[in-house]
Amino acid sequence: MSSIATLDASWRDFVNAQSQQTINRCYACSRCTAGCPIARISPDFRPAQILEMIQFGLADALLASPTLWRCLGCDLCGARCPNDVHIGAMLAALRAKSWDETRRAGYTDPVLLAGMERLGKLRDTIGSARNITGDAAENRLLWTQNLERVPEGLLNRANAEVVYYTGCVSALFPQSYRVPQSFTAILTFAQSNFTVLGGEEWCCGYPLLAAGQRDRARELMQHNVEQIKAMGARTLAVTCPSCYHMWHHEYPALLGAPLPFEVQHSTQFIAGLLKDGAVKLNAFDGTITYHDPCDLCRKSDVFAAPREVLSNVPHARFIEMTNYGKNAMCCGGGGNLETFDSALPPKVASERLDDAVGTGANVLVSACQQCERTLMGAARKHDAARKARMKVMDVVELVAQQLPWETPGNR
Amino acid sequence: MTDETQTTQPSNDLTIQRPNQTVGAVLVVGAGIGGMQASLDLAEAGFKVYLLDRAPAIGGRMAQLDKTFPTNDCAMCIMSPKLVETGRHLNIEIITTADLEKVDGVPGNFTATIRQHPRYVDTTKCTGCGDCAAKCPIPMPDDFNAGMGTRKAIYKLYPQAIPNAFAIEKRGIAPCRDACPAHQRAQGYVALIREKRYADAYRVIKEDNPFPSICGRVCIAKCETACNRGTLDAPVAIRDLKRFVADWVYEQQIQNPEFEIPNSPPISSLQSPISNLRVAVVGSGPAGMTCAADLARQGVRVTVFEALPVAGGMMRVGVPNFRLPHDRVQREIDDTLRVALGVELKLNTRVDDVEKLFADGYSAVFFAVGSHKGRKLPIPGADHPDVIVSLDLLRDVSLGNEPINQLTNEPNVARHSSLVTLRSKIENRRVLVLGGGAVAVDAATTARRLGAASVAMACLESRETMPATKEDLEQVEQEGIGIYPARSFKQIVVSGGKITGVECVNVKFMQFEKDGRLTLETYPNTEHTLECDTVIFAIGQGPDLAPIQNAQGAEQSKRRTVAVDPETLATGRPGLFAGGDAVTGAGFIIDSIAAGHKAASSIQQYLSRQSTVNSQQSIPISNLQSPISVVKLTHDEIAARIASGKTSARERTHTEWVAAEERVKNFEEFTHAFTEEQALAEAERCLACGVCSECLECVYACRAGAVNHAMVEETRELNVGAVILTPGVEPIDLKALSYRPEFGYKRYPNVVTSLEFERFLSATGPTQGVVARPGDGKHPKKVAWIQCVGSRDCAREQGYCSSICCMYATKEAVIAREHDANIEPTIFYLDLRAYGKDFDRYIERAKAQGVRYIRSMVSAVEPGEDGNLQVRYALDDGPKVEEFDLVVLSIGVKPNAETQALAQRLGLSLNGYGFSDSVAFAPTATTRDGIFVAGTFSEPKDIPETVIEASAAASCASRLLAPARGTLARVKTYPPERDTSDEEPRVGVFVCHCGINIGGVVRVPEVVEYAKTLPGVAYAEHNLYTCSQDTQARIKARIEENHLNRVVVASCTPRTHEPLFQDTLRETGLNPHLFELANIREQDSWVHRGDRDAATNKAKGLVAMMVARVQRNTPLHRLVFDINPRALVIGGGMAGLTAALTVADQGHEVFLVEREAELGGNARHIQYTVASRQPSAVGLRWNDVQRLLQETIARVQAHPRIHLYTRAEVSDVSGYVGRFKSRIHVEGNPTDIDIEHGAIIVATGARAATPSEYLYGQDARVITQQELEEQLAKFKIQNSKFADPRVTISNLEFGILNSVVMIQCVGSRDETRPYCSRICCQQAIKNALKLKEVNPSAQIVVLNRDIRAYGFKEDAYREAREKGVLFLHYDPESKPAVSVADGKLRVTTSAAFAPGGSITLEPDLLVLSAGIEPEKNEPLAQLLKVPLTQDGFFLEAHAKLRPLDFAADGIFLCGLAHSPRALDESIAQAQGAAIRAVALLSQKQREAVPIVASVNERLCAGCGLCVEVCPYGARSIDEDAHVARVNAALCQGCGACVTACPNGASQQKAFEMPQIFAMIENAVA
Repeated sequence: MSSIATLDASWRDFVNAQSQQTINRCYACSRCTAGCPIARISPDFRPAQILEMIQFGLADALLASPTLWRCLGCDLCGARCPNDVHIGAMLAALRAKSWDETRRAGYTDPVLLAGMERLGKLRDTIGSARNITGDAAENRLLWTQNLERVPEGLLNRANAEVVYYTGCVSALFPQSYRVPQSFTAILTFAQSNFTVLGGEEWCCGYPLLAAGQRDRARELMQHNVEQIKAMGARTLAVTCPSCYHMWHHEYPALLGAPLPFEVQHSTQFIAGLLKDGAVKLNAFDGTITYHDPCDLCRKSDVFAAPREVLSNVPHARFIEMTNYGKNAMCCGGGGNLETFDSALPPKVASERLDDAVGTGANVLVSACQQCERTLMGAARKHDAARKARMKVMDVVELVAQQLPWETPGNR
Repeated sequence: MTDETQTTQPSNDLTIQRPNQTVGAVLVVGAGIGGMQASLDLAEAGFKVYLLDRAPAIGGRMAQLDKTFPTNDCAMCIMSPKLVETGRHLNIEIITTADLEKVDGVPGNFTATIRQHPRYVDTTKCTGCGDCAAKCPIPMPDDFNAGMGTRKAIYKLYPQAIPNAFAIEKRGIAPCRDACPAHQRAQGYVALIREKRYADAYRVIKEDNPFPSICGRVCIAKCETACNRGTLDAPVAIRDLKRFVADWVYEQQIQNPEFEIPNSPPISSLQSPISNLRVAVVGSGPAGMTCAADLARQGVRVTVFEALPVAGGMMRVGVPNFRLPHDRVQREIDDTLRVALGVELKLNTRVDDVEKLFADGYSAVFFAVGSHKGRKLPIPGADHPDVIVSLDLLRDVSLGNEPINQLTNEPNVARHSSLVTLRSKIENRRVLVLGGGAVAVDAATTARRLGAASVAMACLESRETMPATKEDLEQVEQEGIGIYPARSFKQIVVSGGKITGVECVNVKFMQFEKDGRLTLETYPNTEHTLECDTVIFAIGQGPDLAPIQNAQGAEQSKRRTVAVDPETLATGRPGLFAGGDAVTGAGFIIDSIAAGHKAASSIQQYLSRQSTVNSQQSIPISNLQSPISVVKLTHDEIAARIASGKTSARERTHTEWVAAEERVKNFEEFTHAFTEEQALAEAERCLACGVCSECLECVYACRAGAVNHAMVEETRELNVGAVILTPGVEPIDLKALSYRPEFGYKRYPNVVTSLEFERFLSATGPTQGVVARPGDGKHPKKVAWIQCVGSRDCAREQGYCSSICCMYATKEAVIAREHDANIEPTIFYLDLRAYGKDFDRYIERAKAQGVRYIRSMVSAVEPGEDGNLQVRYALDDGPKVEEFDLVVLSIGVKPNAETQALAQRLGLSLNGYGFSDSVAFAPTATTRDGIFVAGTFSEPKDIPETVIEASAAASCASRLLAPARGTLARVKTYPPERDTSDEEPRVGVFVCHCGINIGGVVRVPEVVEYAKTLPGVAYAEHNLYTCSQDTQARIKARIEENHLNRVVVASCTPRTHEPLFQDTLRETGLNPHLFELANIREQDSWVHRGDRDAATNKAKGLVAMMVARVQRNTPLHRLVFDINPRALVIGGGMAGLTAALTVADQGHEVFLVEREAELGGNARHIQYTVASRQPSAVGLRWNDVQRLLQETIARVQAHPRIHLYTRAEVSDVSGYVGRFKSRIHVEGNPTDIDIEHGAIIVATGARAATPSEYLYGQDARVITQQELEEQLAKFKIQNSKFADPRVTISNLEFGILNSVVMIQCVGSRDETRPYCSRICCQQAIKNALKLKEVNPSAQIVVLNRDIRAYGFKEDAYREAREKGVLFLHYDPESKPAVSVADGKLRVTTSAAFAPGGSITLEPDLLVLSAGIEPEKNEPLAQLLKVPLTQDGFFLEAHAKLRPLDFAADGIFLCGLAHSPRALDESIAQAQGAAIRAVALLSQKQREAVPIVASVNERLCAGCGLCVEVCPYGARSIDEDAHVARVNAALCQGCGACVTACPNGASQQKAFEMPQIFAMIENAVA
């Protein structure tokens, strides 16, 4: 039975306008499908097909299926597309349409409905608690309780030059506390004049954007910018690549003005410290491979900084994975997929871990607490299965671990 | 959108404006196949041609290809004749290794400035033998083999290269050579060491430096400081390598007194105008001896005066034996004395006054006494007898009075009293050496060996700034010598008559000023005493200037040395020169050597002119100073080379030293030379910065004297009327662009580019045609081709289609299977662009032969097992991974940076991709008049299209310069032919050595002696290079002297060399066919290298066969006939019109015959075309076809030389090339018209096909693209001044079109018409864009099998998509279904993305792309006796290289009659066909091919088999005589009839039975 194609152009016009690209340029080469990490494990998710459905005006069928929500937003498709089409951006635009009440009334797919309900909760949580877990604001500083050296005036230090924006995951997931703890240790070692916002740090808005909630995101973003402006800091340091991407790209775009401070990812910040000689590191015996977080490398062009940091660890051997840099595969942790369908991300992470194991390295370093979480999960399974140990950590953890505290000469 | 739309005016060059002075010469830039074709066309048409290329040989990209599609011809085989023809054409001057700098002047009269880069090889002398490359020690990646395999720094681009000559690649001066005062060619000898050619390395050192062994030990090694490798890890240990070579040579000479250094200058007399003059050299140190040797080599008589009993100066008496053994010094002094006629050395002869030497008759004096006067500080206690001057100590110890006999290890009985005294002052005493330089170190270490109780050094300088080298200080410390740096000395403390110490203060700051003055700052209150018993001063030294006191004009410098002109080393006293330490104070040996060279050069000039010398002259022997810059390699570049394995990653090798406690016991040398293993490893570290190392091995190897390292860049101006650019394109450099790393190129060894794979297939490639994986040499089974790498990728600024990749990938897949039937090829593609003539058939054949095509672009290539590769792609049902053994990336093409820079220098505009910008309907025009373009530089295209355009460009140039035709072309004349019919055969045999190519294997003189014994041979000799120009003169002389009437040359291949020798014969009046060539190189010496006897015997056999044969050769004569200068053009479409105009504009009458009443053909139905769009440009440009057509018709109708016949047909054709007779029948005309003409151009076109499916003809809403186009043309063309503004949208017959479906390939690429109609995709895109322009909201879906938007047509394709036109693929197995339901058109087609797998569209209009079908061509083909293709189009002579010719001479082809093509392409063909015709018609007479068939009528049965097989229509049956005839004007000598004739009646001249039998008899005898 053949469907009558309406050739309704309003869909592609909408997507083009919302995602600011020319999806019409697509010539149906299928590279997007061929490379997509989700398509690999879930072959009914085919980016090329989704695109053609939109082109031919069949998007109603798309909205009624869970397909839209399975995209990790990793943008590997966009990096490899010869026509510069980014499916993730396209789907993000369509997701906004999907929240439309009248449309949702017609949805029957149970996976879609369950997933959207979870996303709706997340949205509500962020709306009320300004973070992704629903924790009380003061809990944002729980991670400081175990610090070996608590810097003086960590919270809201007046005239701080650097504000460290921790991000929800690092601040509220105990599993990720090591990231802010490590980064503060580095800042302290380097005698940086820095501070954190504590409870006044709100969610950066990323999950809301990925869920198609632009207006609600803007509210959070405005609050965050005002807070930092009030501190008068010159630099905003961020450990979370998604927060970084938001701060670097979306904040100026969505707020319509350049930010009055410089935004640096922790790897860029540390690379600067190493370059200036403010920090020198102890030798590290091991072989390291590095996983590029999608939001950091592919989407934000931060490729060199983490590698500069790693090359400054004396004696460490470094080896690239098969897919690295802009070609890196996603860890599986992106695009709210964990919330929508928690079964898929571990499978993606497992593929990524295989790549890392294939290098022969014994340390897998990333620069993202989310990548670290998903990859660590995969490593645990992997270790149990093959009895090979792959240590997973964030760059800041590795650096903090190699700080030569005991040698005053290094200061 | 309307604002964006522009219309360009047709700018087809219909009228010609010529300058007053037209120049009959053309410059063609780029000597690939296009450049060669353009050159040949123009040269044949009577123009002088300069053919220029950057490369050292012509041939371009095609030379690199293995086979060509769709014929599978070997590229080199079909191109080679063109190479030879271009190379030998009298009116083509080939200029290689050159760039076009600029073009001034006006079209018709340009001045082109050429920058001629030095080739370092004289092409007129080089014979291409390759002896030089065999000796060259510098391997380079072979660019011709896509960087795989190696060639040498001196190289021939490829084996068949024209000019057949080598070239040297130099990047610049190596920094080591630049830094060395004597300009030692370190890279040269290091490279030779790497090849274990130590004797050659020694020769290189020795040419610039008489003291290899000395400098190999104690040189300051500025070369190492400059070494580029130092910026990465550590410099190459050049000095140690030099020592290794010197030691190795001396060892050989000890073992074998006969041992000789190759290529050493002969010890013979050299006569020069200064030979009888005498020169005195005062001092036998490095400066003096170097100068003496140089002068002696020039034939000057030199006497060296030495005050000491030994020669060598400081080298001998200033450096201790353990550092520089005396025997080495003596050996090199002895060598130097033997140079040329010899140098006279007078020892123990002090010169007290140089004026006395002048008085004694010496014409010049070189004063090089060194710096032997040691100094003491004027401090209290300095006069104490236990204070020693270092130089005295070193000299005394050195003069043979060592305290310990080196042979017996016993204490020496001292002969020299002063030594005894000195020893006693040192033995068992505490010695303090004052000084921190090399001399101080030598004094301290000598004192240590003399048995001092303790030794220490103290100096002014800090530890870091001490002048002694790091190695010296290492030695000092190892030997337990203390160092007290940064101290100033107050006094020598004497107590009780004995020295007790030296009082010092600590130094805060010190610096020697330029004039030698010391600035010193000390710390107050730091006085302290260093305890000691003996003090040795090693703080400086100066020359003894007493001997020049009386020399009038000679002056002293402020530093108390001799003052000289630094450029010439001349003193104020004419004839008196000075150098070395006498001028500089204590200096380095290498500086003294350099001074010696400089002095010799100055003295030589002085002697020649007997006047003051003031100009600088470089060092003798290796006078290589070309103005090229010093090579500076960046850290990253070096790191990359090491990472890629091109250079050894090893760390610097260090020499071994004897342990300190051992070595201090004696005076023996304590450093070991490199072992051979160490030397080889160290030599591997050299980066070969300069590329050519200037080792001069090639100079010595070349027996023709063709190598010249002194060549420099030159500028040359050419006066030409027009310029044609055919620079071609290059495969894009994936590595340099960091292009799409996901494909794994250079990351995984078994991912290769298509060009690399092409070279694997080639017999001349790196694997000799074996398909093997680069990673492990394994034979791959599964091979994947990935298409569109660097093409159709607008995200990477490569938005265009490279046009050729689909076909070459298919060809590579097919050929790979031919090489190895186990190979399973898979091609990943998106649109299979097989748009050319017979391409689709080729694809179908490939499929049948097992090539698998997968319609999917590959996302990534990842590593698999065992070097295999995982290819990720997707099909409709999701992503796939498949493992392959080898992955080939089909890389796109792009003009290189030099080409783009050239275009910019010439003021041409480039499109956004860097190609030449196009001009509407003028396919070879650039944006500058008089400069034309052809081939890939204007758009990617394949070989036949390039050849067509090359002819078209030649045609445009020829048309511009028509009045000057023949003014600069030369015609070769020969003496009248000698009648040899009555003469007995007198054969001359010339056997070639070909350098060592033949001579190194075949015993050539023996072959000559043998040849002399053969019957009929009147003369035989051997030549070093028989093909060289001087040998041609020699052969001519021998022919005259010996009255020879037959010649046999035994050398190389007849393919390239037979025409040369035949020409030589003609120049003596002999018929060229009285010549034979025996190939004793390719067929003998190259294949029997290891067996001299067998090779020599085979050479004799080959010579004997040819001697036997040549005696049966008879003179052959070429049929000469007159050419009728008129042309017949059949067909009055755009192609015919263009061809007629182009021919007529060049002065020839044209008969133009058109069947219909109206001119214009298919072009009447084409309304507009899309101008190729730059990616950066906004909006579309439309070209107006109708205006072009009307203007063209008007010009044809008005042309005085065009005779136009409409409603007419050619009813009869007879005759042959140059002499055709035809009959024209005009409809309604009772009498036919008979015409005579010399050439025929077939331009009969083809027609639009009528669809027979999809309801065409049944429903008015189903129309063809052509019908749609005519409707659309009624709309206003925006901004067009010739469109009718009254036409509005309501005129459209079909109402407002909101949805349109187009179906492609209707009636094309199916069983009935299995070819692609080529134009339909462009037409559909064009009309869709036009529809969108009229109604932007119109929904358009184009159902297609492949969108064949080749070249820049991809831009229009992308434009259409961006504007919302939808393209949907269908397979021929499931074509769209069209029906009518409820009065609506319904089109149902498969769509994998849609639920149910298909979609149905309900368009307002269905447009069918119906394609093109041939006219009924059979009758004309029969009249012209030319063949048709299977599809009914005319068949050209050769699909690749003769696309415009028929096999039958004098008939040419253009337009759709050839194959479906776009309007621009037809115009190019027409212009090209026109120059082919003009080149023929412009000759008054024509010679037929001499080697033709003949018929022995007595044997001929008249069966007619020969007529059937003749491809040229040259055979016929004489019905009266019942025998076969040959039309010698048509016969091309292919020999098909000879093999077909059952009776042996057909014979081929020059290959007749008696000749063949004579050879066979000799061979088997």
